[in-house]
Amino acid sequence: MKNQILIIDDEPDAIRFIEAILSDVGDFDCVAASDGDEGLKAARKNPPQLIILDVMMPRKDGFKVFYELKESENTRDIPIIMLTGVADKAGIRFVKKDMQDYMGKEPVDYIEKPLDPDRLKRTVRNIFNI
Amino acid sequence: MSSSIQHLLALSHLIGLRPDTPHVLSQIAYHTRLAMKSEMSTLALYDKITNEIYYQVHWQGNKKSESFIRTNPDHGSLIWCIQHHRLLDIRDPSNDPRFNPENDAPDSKQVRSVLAIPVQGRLSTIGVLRVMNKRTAKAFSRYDEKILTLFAGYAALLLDNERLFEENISRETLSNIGQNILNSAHGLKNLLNNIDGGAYIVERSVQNKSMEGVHEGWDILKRNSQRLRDVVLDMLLYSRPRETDFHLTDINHLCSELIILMKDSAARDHVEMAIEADDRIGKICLDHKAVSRGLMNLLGNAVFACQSKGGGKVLLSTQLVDDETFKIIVKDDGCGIPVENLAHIFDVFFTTKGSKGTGLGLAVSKKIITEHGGTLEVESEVGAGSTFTMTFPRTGRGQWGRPKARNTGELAL
Repeated sequence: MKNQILIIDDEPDAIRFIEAILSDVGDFDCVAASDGDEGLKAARKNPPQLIILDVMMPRKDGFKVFYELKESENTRDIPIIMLTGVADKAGIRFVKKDMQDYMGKEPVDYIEKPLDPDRLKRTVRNIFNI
Repeated sequence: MSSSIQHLLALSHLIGLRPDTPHVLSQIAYHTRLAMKSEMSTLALYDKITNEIYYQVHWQGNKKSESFIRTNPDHGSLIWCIQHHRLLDIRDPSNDPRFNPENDAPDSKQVRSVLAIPVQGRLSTIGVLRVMNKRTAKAFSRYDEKILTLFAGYAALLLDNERLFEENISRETLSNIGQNILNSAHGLKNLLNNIDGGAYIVERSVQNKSMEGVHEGWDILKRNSQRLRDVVLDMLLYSRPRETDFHLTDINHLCSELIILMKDSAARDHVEMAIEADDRIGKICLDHKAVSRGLMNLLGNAVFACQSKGGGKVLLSTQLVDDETFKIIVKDDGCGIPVENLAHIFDVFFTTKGSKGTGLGLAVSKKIITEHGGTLEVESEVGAGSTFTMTFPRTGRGQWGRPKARNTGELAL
């Protein structure tokens, strides 16, 4: 069975970019959600093997989605890659530490936009051991 | 309580007040004279770069005089004090080369004794504090030296405090601008990300010889470079001093052009656009390009508000109010604006659209309308929709007809 990857981002063009990168890594079943609530619903209904989550989204931002995913037993162990356009390196360290303190959990990787396709590929390969 | 402590206390009350440097300077000299029981007191400020005394406040009895002089007194007690970084005690002025009657005794009143000390700030010498003629004795005592040292220390504290306070205010403004740039950088990075994505898809599709993929990537590229262009234009429009370009313009024609331009793409999102024009308005002198940019931002928001509700209607109407005023109204039945956001919608870089917004649209619209001597008001109800009303003067009033030559940017919030 194919591994399923859920992409949560409010930009359809960004989702297409990620799908294109992923299809160069392997044969995945990609599911897209355009906001936090839609993403949470999809993750709960059919837990994927990886979630790629954008931080800056209207209504429910990526951090809230992250915490809600980690709070529920169903979705707690799904690896998450977070994408952001806003943080600098110090900011990312701070956020990761905050997540670690709060939940004992942190994203597998925290990647800045504009995306470096090679970095995303490396991280995804590591997660699936390919 | 001894008199010198009372006067120190009076000075210490100045620390918590709103900065008012002239007042602080005058109060320092005033209380120093009283505490020292002297006939005269002077507080002078020193400019290290030009080696000049550039300001002094002088108390003689209860008479105050201020002077904004830029002098480089080669000699005299004030400059001596600064150059030697130490206390100066003159007991026989007429025979002391450090005393200069020209610079030191403004009205040639006989000076018997002088005590002066540098006011040493945290970073540099701020100035000099000086008293002349002890009232109760022939000269100043060792005890007086200590009191004057204490007052000079207080003066340094107060003046450093004033400077820090003022610098802090400007730094706060700067950090606001920094925060704003960070916010807009996020929107820009998203667009750059999409452009990278388009290029990535084109490239791999060329390799895979997939014409379909090339088209898809190309569309992403085009769409996002267009968006990037809009954002950058808005930023320029907002921040750069801009030459206004006023022409007689048919406002109804301008409005219907905009509707034609936007109608089709709005319809794809189930948003209907309509216009109701008041023919009585006639031609108006305005900056055609700027006003259509401002209107387009408002219409774009209205469409977005309807879109997020699944569809709706946007009505653009013009209305003659009286001989002197007319209105342009953008009304939608979209999602509406929550009360807590209403106060911020005209702020630069405020956005609720996530990565789709730059936070510039409404700020730009408002700036353009203000430049035309008009006002922009909003009424909104969550779930029911919003109405933006622009009121413009129709004939030469206010800035009207004589546009400012230069409209400075408003980034310094």
